[in-house]
Amino acid sequence: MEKVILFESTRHAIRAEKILKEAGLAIKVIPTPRKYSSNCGVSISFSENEADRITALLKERAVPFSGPFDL
Amino acid sequence: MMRINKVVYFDNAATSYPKPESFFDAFNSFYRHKGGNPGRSGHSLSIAAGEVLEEARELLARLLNISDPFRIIFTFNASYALNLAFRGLLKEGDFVLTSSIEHNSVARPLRTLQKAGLIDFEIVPVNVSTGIIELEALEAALKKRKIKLVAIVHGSNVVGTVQPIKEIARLVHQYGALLLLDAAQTAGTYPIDVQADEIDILAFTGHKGLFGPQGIGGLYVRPGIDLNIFFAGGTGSKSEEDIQPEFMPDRLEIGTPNAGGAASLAAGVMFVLEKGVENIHAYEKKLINKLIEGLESIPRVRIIARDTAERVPVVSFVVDGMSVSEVGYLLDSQYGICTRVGLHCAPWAHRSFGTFPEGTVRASLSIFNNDDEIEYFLEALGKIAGG
Repeated sequence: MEKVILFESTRHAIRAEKILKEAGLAIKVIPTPRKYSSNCGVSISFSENEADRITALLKERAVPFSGPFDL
Repeated sequence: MMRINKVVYFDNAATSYPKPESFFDAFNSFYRHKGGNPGRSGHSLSIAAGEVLEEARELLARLLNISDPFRIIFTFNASYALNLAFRGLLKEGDFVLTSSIEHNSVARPLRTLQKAGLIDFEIVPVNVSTGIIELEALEAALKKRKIKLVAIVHGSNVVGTVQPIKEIARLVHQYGALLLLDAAQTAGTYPIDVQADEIDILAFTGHKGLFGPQGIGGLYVRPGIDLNIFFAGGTGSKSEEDIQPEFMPDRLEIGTPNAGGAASLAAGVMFVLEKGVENIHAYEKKLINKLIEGLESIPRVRIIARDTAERVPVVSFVVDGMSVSEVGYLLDSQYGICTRVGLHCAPWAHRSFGTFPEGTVRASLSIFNNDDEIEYFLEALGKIAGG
């Protein structure tokens, strides 16, 4: 299943995208799904089996996010 | 003697000139091809602009060893950053310590807050031959009463002295105070490691040693310190609320930022990272020492705070029997050499060194200066002082 993480600020999304891509993780930057309220117009999606690695990495690098939620 | 350039620029402590070539390319590319409002919209040009801003933050974090780039916020310059720190940190009744060679960017906000009856402060003296803060006097002042904040200029814009910041930080923290460092003269020219040096809050400007443009600077606030919100406004985040977001950098960074400036600042910081701050410092140290040695052999020239060991490439001097403005004018008009004369926005410093109100002639270098320019300057000054 695909998961999605949301951000409070585009600044956070941009930094998250960069960190995750640099780590070679398969992620997609997508428009924030309508069912989730977020302030940032973009979110990051990925497959469920990458979720732990992704959330751990963002926590380690102090990038705030919420989720992961089901896409 | 031959004019070696159109202009010999020895006023880098005021603003660095020239800038690296990448500075211009970055600005051009930003407004031609990116140019959206960073963090506001979700479209490609807004994201592209946002990436530029975040790139600048990350490069600064790398340069200063800041673990979380979001602890850096952009401001107009170091003065705004310092004001933000004072206003965000100090509460009524707080007491601040500062040094006797601060720039007006520290002196005036403190005096303003004092006159408003909010805070009080004490000025700790420096040694007049080295420019270094008297550590015993600092410790005595820390012991005397509860101190909230110690605000210190890292590199003196008047005499170039670099303060032993690690030692100062240890002392400040031993007595439970916080350290605010004014790094306007040192960011990019002198190695800074906010973690190893234990710096709590640091203000910098973009247009000096970081080779960015004028009108962009910033503030680093270490994790664990939440400055009170002084300026509030749009951030592109939490737009459904009229409450300022709590998280950094949105907590303190409001309104459309100078993203084009950040593009050029990022190019400047990249230039510094590629050269290496240690290498820049070593090169400039060699040049400034050559300049100082040369000044010593010119009759009537008196160097201020000659004995400082660690310095940024800044030296102040007077020519006995001549006004500083006359010296500066002749250097410029006869020889095409740009220096800065007078008080350098630092009346406290000039009072400390006994050069108030006349001031000094200040020569300040960058990595773009060279040996030939030093020799040319010394020859020119020799003629001015001798004639």
